[in-house]
Amino acid sequence: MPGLAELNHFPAALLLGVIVLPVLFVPALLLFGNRLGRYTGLLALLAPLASTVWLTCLLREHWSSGTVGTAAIEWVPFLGINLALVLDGISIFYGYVILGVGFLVCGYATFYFSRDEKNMGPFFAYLMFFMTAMLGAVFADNLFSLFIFWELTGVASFLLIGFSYEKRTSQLGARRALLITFSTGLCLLAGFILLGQQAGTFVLSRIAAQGGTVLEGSGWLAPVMLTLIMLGAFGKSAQFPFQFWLPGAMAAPTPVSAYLHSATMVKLGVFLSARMFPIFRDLDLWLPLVAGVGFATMLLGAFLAFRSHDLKEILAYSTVSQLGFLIGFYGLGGSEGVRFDLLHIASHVFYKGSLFMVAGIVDHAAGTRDLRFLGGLGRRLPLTAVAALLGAASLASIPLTTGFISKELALAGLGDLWAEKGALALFFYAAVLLSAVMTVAFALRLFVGAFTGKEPADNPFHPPGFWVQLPPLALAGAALGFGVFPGVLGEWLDHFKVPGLQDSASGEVALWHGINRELLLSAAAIALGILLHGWARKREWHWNRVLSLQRLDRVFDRSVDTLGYVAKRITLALRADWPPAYLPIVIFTLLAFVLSAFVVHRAEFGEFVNTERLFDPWRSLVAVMVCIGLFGVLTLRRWTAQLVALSVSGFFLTFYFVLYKAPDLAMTQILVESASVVLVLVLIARFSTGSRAGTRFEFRWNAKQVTRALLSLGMGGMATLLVVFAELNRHPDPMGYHMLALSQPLAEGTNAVNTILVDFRAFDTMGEITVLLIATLAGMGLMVHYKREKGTDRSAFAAPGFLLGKRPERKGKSE
Amino acid sequence: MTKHTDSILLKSLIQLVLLMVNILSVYVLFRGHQLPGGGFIAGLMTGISFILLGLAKGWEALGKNLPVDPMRLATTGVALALGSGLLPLLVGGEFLTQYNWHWEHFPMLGELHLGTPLLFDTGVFLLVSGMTVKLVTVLVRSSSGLAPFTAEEERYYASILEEPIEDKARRREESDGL
Amino acid sequence: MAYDTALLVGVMFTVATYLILQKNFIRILFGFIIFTNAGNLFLLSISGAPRHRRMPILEEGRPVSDYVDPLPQALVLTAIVIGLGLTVYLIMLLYRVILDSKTIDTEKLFQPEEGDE
Repeated sequence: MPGLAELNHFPAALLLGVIVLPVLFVPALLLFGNRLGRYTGLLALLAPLASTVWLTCLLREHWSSGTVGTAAIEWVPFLGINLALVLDGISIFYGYVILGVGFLVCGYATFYFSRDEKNMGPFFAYLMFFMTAMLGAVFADNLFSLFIFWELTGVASFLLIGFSYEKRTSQLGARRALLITFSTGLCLLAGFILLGQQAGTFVLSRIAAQGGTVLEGSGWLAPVMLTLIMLGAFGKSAQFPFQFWLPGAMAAPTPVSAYLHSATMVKLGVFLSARMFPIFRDLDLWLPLVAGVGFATMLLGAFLAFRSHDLKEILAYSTVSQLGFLIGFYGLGGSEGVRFDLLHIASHVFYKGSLFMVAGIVDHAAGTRDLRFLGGLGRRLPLTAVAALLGAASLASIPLTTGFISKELALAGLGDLWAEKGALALFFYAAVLLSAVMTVAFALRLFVGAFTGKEPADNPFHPPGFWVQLPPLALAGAALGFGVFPGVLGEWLDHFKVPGLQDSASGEVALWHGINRELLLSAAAIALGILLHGWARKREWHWNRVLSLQRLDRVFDRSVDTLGYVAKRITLALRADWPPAYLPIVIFTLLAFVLSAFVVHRAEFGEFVNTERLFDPWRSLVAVMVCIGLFGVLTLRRWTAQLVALSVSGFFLTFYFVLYKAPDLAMTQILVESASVVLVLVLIARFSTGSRAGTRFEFRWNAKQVTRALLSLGMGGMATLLVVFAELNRHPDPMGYHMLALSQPLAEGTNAVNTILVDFRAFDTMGEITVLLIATLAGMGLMVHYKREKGTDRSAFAAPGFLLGKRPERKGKSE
Repeated sequence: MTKHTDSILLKSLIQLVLLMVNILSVYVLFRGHQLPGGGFIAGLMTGISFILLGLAKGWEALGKNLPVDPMRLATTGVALALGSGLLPLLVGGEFLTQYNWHWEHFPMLGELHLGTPLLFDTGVFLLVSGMTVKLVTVLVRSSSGLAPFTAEEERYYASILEEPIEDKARRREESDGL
Repeated sequence: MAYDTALLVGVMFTVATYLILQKNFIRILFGFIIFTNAGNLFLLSISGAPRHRRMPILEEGRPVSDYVDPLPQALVLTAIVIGLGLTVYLIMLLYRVILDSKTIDTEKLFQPEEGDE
């Protein structure tokens, strides 16, 4: 394995502290949320700050660049499910991104909301919850803990998108996001389980250390695994065909969009691709699946962003596009590993975060986010305009920004691929260039449309505060600063190299590589983009209906609704308003199961013919008496007579027990029989004489009666067969004889039945008497509590009529 | 069933029968470990003897004559069985370990055999007898128009929010001039 | 091979099932009681036909193979008592249902009333 890192261990509690620290703030946030209003954010701000400091201290002590540290807290060790944590370059990088952007977003959100905004406590509490879940996901070293944190981020996202829960768009957006990420999350879980089974361990760092050798001998399972896992990643990162949930998620407050839906949560798919890269990269499916979907989404996202008018929607689709690029980038990785992946991510975080924040400010200031109704904000909001300019420039990959560096490196990488793969690379090349052209066009539109030109007359303008403009400016400044001095960023990111994932040879990042193919292509893309922008502007960004890929969300909503509808129809079709109707179904199912088992094991009935057949004359006589009693129950007319017949059969069963050499049973049976006769009589005596007359047993040849008879005969036949089957398959050494033998030496009793009851299996008896106690209490409860109707309801105990099935007329409810 | 019986024979003999059946049931309980019998059977015997008492003397009288609430008996039984199971834990044994002691020549009684299984079986006996009596009395009384519980019992079992089922029946009968 | 037991269990299950499938509460109750008995007998039959074996009260100097298997008996004993508890509970439940819905017919019991959904 190239550069297999040594696994060193560190105390798990330390890293766990970093992860749970934000969520520890939740009680305080909820407690002071109402009193502090939006300034709760300043309290929440401390959490990422403290976590960052803690993480940095931890790294100084226990981590050095290029190593992998692991720690585990045992959870369900025998299933291999532990809370395992890992410290390696990529997790630390993501950790810093989460905490850093989290810090800025908390600050931004504090001043983004108006002073009298409600529910600030829960809002920041959700944010903290998300932060913990996200940190847990990136630091997780066990597939199961990764999955759990992965899903927790989805929960947090659901809560935050639905923060304005009374708005219809929020409801829809939250529902879509939840359903998509969770259903794909289930695929992910299935993939993880397959992978874990294949690897023999669920510890990610150990699987990754083995690299592609893990998959040896898995055959067709490996592509299935990859597909399932990548489905999870695609769902989370809003890749095709799931791209539509992300714009829907923009119903969330803008700080949330900037944080979850551009900088962190949606990057989990990218993160997962990076984690899976060392394992699956040699698989044939890796390149077409990951790179294919990634770059296709990149193109599609750019196209959709180009067609949109809403600021946040444009940014959302552009995020989709960029995520596609980032995921696809891993798809292209060669056997030495990928290069500069972290640089692309960092660059995206810088400009997309700042642009989202700018969009939020514009929304608040101008009251709309629709670019067709915006303009001329540059004079009013100079600081914001600067942030927007830098962000848009970086988005459009104008030189001197990180976006430019990133794009140059990407094109260079693709150029290398061209040499390697030939025509296949053409598609990727085309995707990158085309989307670059469109990106330039809509980036230009973002800035030009909102900040220059004429100010629409009827737009009310609320000036934003000063502080709210700082976080976007900070991010945009980073995009510029690192764009001018990319070497600093490159060197810093080199610390976070993970062996097996990134190319160990350190590549040089510089602003100026000389005039080469990439530069020319970039320049061409920018020029074409400007032309495209000009053309679109002439059309006033008015499009005829084009193929509505974006309407996938409608399709999805409709299918979700249809699912509910179909489920309801099926339930209605299967449901009976009369619960006893289920009984035949239950019996039928039971018969089907047991009889099919008999059919499978029919060979064992072969011994049937060889066994000694036994018709004990006394037992047969008693059995006949029992049957006569049963016949009486069936045919006698009066209930009392039926009861007598029933007890006849019960008492004769006592004799049967005697003949079975079971004295204890016989005694119990006779006593129980007496008691139950009295009890049933109590119930029957409640009815007046007329109704006690009962009805004669009549068998009619209609479908219902025949079905009942057939089911009953089936049950009887099944029972007979079961007895025969049990007899034929007797255990050669039954348990009972051991108890019998040990009854005197161990339990010092000669009545083996009793020693079993009170000694050998006393725990059983314990449980049984508890059940009896519960039955008693429940029965008493039935008799005591009776929901009363007002007024005297004389029909309740009245004439025999109701007991014969006549229902008394209901009295008016007003009584 | 709702009215007590008119049989003079049953009425006059019931005390004797009750006594004899219960002596027998205790005997059956004690011999259960060695010969057919045991807690379940003895409990049912006692329970049925009280059903007989109810039949003979009326269910209302039964409720008044019982020295303890059968439900308490049942609960005590489960507690006793559980307690006898927990005892071994004190001396370091497993849950429900049973111990036996045997005296060949016990003063006055001769051969005597005692053990914790008897304690457990007594628990079973109490539960089964209590359960039988309680269920029967509650059912019979509620179906014969009486309150299923006496005023004292009601404080334990009945919720204050809802009335017992039979109050309604009783009130109806009162209003009918019974 | 005890044929009589197998057949008796079969007959009891048949009658019990048939009664339980009826719509009259009292019939269902009787069916339930027969079901309990049938189940007990079924369990007991697992100990095998006794033939010439003795009941499981130990005597000095006899090999264990002389006795019938006591374990199914112990299981059935508790099952009988549990059956009693459940029967009483069912009786109470039926009584309560009769008081509440004023019918002893399961078909009528679940008929939707006017004004119900």
